[in-house]
Amino acid sequence: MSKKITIEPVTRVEGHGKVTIHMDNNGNVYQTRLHIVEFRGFERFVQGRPYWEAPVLVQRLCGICPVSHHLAAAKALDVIVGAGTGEGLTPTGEKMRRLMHYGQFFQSHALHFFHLSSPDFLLVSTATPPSET
Amino acid sequence: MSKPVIATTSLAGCFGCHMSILDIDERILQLFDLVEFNKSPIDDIKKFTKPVDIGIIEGGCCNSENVEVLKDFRKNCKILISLGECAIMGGLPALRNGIPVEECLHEAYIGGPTVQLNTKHILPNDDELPMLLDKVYPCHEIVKIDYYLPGCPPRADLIWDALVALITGDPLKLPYELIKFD
Amino acid sequence: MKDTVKQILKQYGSDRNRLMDILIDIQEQLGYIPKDAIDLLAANLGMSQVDVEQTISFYHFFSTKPRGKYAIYLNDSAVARMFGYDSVKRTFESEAGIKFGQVSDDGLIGLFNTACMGMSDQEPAAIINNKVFTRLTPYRVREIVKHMREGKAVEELMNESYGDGKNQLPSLRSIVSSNVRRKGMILGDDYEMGTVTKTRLTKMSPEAVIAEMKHSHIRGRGGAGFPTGLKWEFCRRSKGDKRYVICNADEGEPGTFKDRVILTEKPELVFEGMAVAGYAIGSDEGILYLRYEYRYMKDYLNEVLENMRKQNLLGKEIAGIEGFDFDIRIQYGAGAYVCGEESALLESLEGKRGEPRDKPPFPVEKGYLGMPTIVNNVETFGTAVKIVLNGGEWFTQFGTEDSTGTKILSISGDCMFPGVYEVDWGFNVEDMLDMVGAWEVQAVQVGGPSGTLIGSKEFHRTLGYSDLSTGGSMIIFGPQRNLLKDVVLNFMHFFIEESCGSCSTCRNMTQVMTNKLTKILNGKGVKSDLDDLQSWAKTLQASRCGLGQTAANPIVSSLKNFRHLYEALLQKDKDFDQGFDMEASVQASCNYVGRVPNFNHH
Repeated sequence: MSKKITIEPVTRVEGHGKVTIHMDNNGNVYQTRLHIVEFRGFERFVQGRPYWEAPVLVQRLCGICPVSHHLAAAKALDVIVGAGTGEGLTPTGEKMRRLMHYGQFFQSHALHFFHLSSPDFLLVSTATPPSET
Repeated sequence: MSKPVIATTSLAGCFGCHMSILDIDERILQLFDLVEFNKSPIDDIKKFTKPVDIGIIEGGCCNSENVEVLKDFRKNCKILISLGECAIMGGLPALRNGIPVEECLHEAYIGGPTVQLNTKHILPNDDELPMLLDKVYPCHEIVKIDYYLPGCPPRADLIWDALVALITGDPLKLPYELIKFD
Repeated sequence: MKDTVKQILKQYGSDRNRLMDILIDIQEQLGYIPKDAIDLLAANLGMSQVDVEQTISFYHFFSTKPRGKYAIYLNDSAVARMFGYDSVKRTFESEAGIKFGQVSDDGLIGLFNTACMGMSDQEPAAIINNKVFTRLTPYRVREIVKHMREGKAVEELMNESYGDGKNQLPSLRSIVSSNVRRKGMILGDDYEMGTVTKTRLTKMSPEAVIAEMKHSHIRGRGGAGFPTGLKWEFCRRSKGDKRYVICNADEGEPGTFKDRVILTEKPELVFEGMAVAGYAIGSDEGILYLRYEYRYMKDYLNEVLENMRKQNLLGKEIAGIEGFDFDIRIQYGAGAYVCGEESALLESLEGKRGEPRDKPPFPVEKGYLGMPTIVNNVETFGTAVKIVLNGGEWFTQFGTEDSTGTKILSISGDCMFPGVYEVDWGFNVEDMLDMVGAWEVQAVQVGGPSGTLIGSKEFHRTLGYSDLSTGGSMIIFGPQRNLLKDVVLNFMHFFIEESCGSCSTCRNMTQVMTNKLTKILNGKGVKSDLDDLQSWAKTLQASRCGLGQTAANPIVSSLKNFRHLYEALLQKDKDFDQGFDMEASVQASCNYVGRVPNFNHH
């Protein structure tokens, strides 16, 4: 009898996910699927908004890496307002962007390691095995 | 006396409010002395294992799974807090409310300028996926919510003060810094 | 097209304040307002296209797209729905082959809904190419559409006799009936036009005129009830190079049609009243702001004005009084209930969107074009003539101490004899129902949607500014009416439609409260919903104008006087229900991606 194990929700990651493990009659795993269960429609609803709102809107795509999205939108705006793909940016502007981004690295990586993934690295030996295999 | 039990979840949120919770920094050690965590994305408890005193909800309801998780929370938690604008009024995802859901799906999977490989115009329709709702609903339009903490995201200090006030029963002071949104 | 527009611009001296007139004329000649016309107007009036477009988009009757050779506007007010709107609507749609809101492919017929057009005593009613058709039935509709297909002119579509009273006059020739059922000092026949101008104004100073008005304690007849004498005095005292007399004939409150009748039967009285006001405050220019739905009176009213000029009752040196010049022009609205509010009316007069102004300053200090202005109702001006004729003291013997004089009521709904009745203030609702032939009355809406809905327990109350105030509208509902659905919901939709959108309270709360009411009507209501409606209604007090401040009244007054109707619909076994329907909600996305909804996952 084929069986399916569902792991839901996927915890200690950003975002929402669902994993289904499909096994055949002999209990061998023949397929594992990752389902991305989230859909928000950013691509469509940002259309029609004033262009300067873009960095503020797309920041909210992700709460852990908002700065990355913000800067990506800012780079798009550079082209729109005629500052080219970087040539028109002032040295101060570039430094501010880099500083913001490095700050995000610090925060995001530290948070990800300490709050989210460290148990997998540090506590594997003491973790209780899952109740079903 | 057993410690109050807290559960959190992020429905259709970007996780920023959870980041804000974690922004309480070293006070998290104090928090672990005060409370016990149950179901939450920051631990591995995926189902409620006991009755919960305070449930913190981030994000509004975009799909059927969000609604079911929210109803589950209402069933298992004494108090529910809507954390952040998405839970309070739909937040940013609610910008899709004036637009037919078909158009959003089309732009993302078929018609968008960066869609190159989906030549067969396939839309995600696996049975495992949750079903998208016609609109994004704030949490209080699905279940009764007891408290609201506004902000996008709310300041960590506000979350800390509110949680401490709820747990100790002291009144919550709201100095200007806590509620200015900038 | 260009020549037409240029000629119209020339006629109004390319004055941007006359934009409303210009747009109305363009639309009457071309059927609609094309984009090229907008560009031309912008260039010649010193405005941007957006400025022109924002005025066009505000008013119900302006259109930037063709509206059909026969543009049909059918009234969908509460009273119209009580007397056959649904079947008339369906007949129009099946005969024309289109739905409301559309124009037929051959460009022949356009079908549009419109709010109360002041014909509540003879519903269902429609405006077709500026002519009013009343008492419509499916049979008439089929006939009318048939004749339209035969290319008949709009006048030829009318095959019933012209209405009573002045409606028969050649310059009017309208099938609208006046239905004057009870006359009093205004509607009575005992006054000869010009008497006051020729025999009183010649002997009284302007200050003396104002003194009589104050002595009479007359209060405005439009609904708000501000003491008229005081208003005229304030205006006279305000600094300004020029003063204006504006007559508010917008009459948009559903169920009100008394000004229609006054202007049909006694326009000379109103115009003379405006001249008296002009004399009193020191103005030489009066404007009658007439709602677009009454445009069928245009030729008739112009003829009356011309006649008065010929008799030296308007124009220069009126009745030989030195320095007393006064003339009147007619300015039309274009379909906006909010323009009945005096400051929104002034905005409209200046060619702009009818968005109310912040007050102070009040119109008596800064009104039309920044000058001291009085805005008074049609009936107020008519009454002023009688006050100056007989004296303020005489006036106080009618009505009550706080509400002196008579009030012309427009009564419609479930009664034998709808129409216009002039009664003393202090008239009792019970007597009113007996007067109009109404038996087994479930409720009466006093003062239109912005007034109150009262039940039989309140019928002993009297009409007056401090108790049951009304601008004239009285709608009677029999036992067969579903008050919440047919009346309250209809009135809330009216306010949503007519809100100008400036204040977030009026723009949003009306919709939010209506959603809540709809949820209750759909059987998903719980007890806390009624408490919510009550407390949310209070936020509307923060609105800038009277529309917003009274927009929650249908719900508030029905909750107060008919709470049992709401309670009967509530779910007894639930504390919380927001009306969320998961199955219905996922249909759209599932259909689009091609999957069958599955709710059995967890």
